[in-house]
Amino acid sequence: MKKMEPGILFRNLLIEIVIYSILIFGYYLLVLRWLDDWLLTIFNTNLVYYAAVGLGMILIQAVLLDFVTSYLMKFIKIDQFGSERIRDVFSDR
Amino acid sequence: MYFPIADVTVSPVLLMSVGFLVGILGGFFGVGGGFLAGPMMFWSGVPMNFVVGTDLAHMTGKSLVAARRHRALGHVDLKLGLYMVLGTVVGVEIGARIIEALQETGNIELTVGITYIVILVFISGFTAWESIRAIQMVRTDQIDVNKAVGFQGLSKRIQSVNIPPMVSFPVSGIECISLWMVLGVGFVTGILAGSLGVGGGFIRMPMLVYVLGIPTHVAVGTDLFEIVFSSAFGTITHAIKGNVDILMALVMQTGAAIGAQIGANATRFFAGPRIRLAFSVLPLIGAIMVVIRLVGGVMGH
Repeated sequence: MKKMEPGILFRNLLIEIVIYSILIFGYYLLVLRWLDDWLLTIFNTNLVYYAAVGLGMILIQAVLLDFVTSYLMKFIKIDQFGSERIRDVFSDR
Repeated sequence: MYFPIADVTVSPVLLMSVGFLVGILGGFFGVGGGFLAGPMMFWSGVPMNFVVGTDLAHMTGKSLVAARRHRALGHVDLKLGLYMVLGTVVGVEIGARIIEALQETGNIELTVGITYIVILVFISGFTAWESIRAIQMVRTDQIDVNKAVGFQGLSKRIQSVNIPPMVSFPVSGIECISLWMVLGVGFVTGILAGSLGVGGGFIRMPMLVYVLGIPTHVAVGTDLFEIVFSSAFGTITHAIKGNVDILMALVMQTGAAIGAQIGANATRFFAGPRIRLAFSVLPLIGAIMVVIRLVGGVMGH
């Protein structure tokens, strides 16, 4: 497998973060900022339900974001990075 | 952005940035990042009881992302992680009750703050001392860098304790150890997780290495796997007590998810002693931030 130079890796990481930021900005505008009233209502009426819904939302969002970030990691081909060469630089021998 | 549940206005960009930073650190060091995210949230004006619960909620999602990545890299001992969960959930519940009792006495900020500082400074000093010793051992004794640990006496004693039932952890290279030792480590870190609002990773990762004798990379991955359960349990208990702002946790998690992926991938490029030496700086930073907050509070009064 062709190995990637550190400069190219950091450039690709930067591209990944920019693409991810755009996606998250859209997600914030379309979803997150509309949740406050609904969450406040269930917080004030039933804390057990609020706890269950809250944990569910956290886990679902984590899986979705994991899918997005994993796809972006493949997109920037991070696995092609020359890990052995860098390990030599940072290890003790 | 106004968060009506916590009744506080905080910039979402700040929250995402905090999530991103602790996501990288969490994915790389196997910690929840509460010792950094907690003081940062506290410092930005979030009430202490919401700092504790909300941080645990965001930690659950971030640790899930990082643990999945570490599992793909072969750094997760599922059997060890599941056993430790048993000890941790009991400890988390006791820790959450300690927080409730402190809220009633009104001493929560000072008590939690001072406890934070003492524990963090000790962990920082000890890990720095050990990892420097391990690096010197590699240089002078020419031993394998991935097996070098500057403090092995305790883990050897723990592994020699013969209290049944005895269990083995092939993924971590442990042939035989008392189950009670594993549960004990989980229990102690669970109490800290519940009472200090942290996943417990900043103490569990060093304890896995120094007390149980787990290789650093596996300790990082297994710790994250365990944090998913301990912080999820902590989220439920704190949310029922009204101490979690889910919206704030969701916003933080958007930054943490990508940070956790980057941090987990970065562990491939570093040997164990280097990871531990870098890790030693983190608790010290967390302690300094708590000192600044406490001094600020005293000056404000």
